Amino acid sequence: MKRKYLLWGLLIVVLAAAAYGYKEFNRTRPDSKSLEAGFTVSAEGILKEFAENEKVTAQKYSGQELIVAVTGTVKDIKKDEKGYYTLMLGDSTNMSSVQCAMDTLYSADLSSIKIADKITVKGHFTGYNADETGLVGSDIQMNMCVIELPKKQ
Amino acid sequence: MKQKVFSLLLATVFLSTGLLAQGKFFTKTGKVYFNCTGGIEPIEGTNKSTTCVLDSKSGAIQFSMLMKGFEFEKQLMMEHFNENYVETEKFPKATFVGQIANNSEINYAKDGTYPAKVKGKLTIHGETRDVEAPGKITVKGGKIIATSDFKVQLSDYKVGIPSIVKDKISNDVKINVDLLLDPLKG
Repeated sequence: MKRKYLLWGLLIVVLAAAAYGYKEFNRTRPDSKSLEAGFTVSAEGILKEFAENEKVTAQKYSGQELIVAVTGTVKDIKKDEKGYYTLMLGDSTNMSSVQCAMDTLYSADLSSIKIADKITVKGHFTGYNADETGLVGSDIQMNMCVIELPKKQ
Repeated sequence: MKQKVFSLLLATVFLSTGLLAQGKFFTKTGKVYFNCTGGIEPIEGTNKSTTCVLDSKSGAIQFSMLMKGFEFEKQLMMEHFNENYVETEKFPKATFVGQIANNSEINYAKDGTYPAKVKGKLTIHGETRDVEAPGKITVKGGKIIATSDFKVQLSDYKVGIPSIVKDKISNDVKINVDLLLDPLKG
């Protein structure tokens, strides 16, 4: 009798471990829309922070799953042949931008966004790509971005 | 009067060409795809935020990308890539500095597709190696589409693969580069 219970117990543990393993293996990146931002900043502000002290600022924004909300003016909207959007936020007189690769799940939210709109974009923080050519400006990069709070100017 | 109009036209042409940065082209949304599948499970990632500058006069070409910008279908794969394999916190960037070896054979003023040979230094995971890759340059409506497919070895860049997953991850990494370059104004 005891042995029967032990076998059933073992089977349940094995099945639970297999289910956990399967779930963990197939886990996808969490949707930015449902996550709280660790930092809420302006596009110009965060670019200035990195330009002034890249090393210290990189430490501040480190971590594999950091969500950042950035408010700024849309200076460019790029759409590729597969329909992926990238929004560039920041000062249009400067080559540096906050580059937001948008989550394709929410592409419909972009239909009303125009150049010069002031918006807030939330996404997974990737990092700072300092310009090594002296020609194209340095950029903050974020992935899987969503529009947070569209604001009219 | 005619002379004035001609001078004005000449000045406009001169100014507008002067605004383009001497035949330079760039993108900040270039795509780099890699695949190092060794088993059944596809091991692949895409970076859609690659910066590239091409000088059409000299053929000099330069890339930079944040390794953390690679997206994967599965979160676990991305975590292993960032934390265990390419160590993105320690080595955040990959760069390529090189040259189109046959640049004189490419007519950037005429629409068309031209074969290109690219040579340069590729830095990944803090390791720099010489790389040669075939590519294609397509000139279309004042823009440039640059594509290339090549292979690198993970071992050359000291990316260690634990023995437990050695049969799942190939040491040969297929890399595909796809860039749409706009004229650089400056």
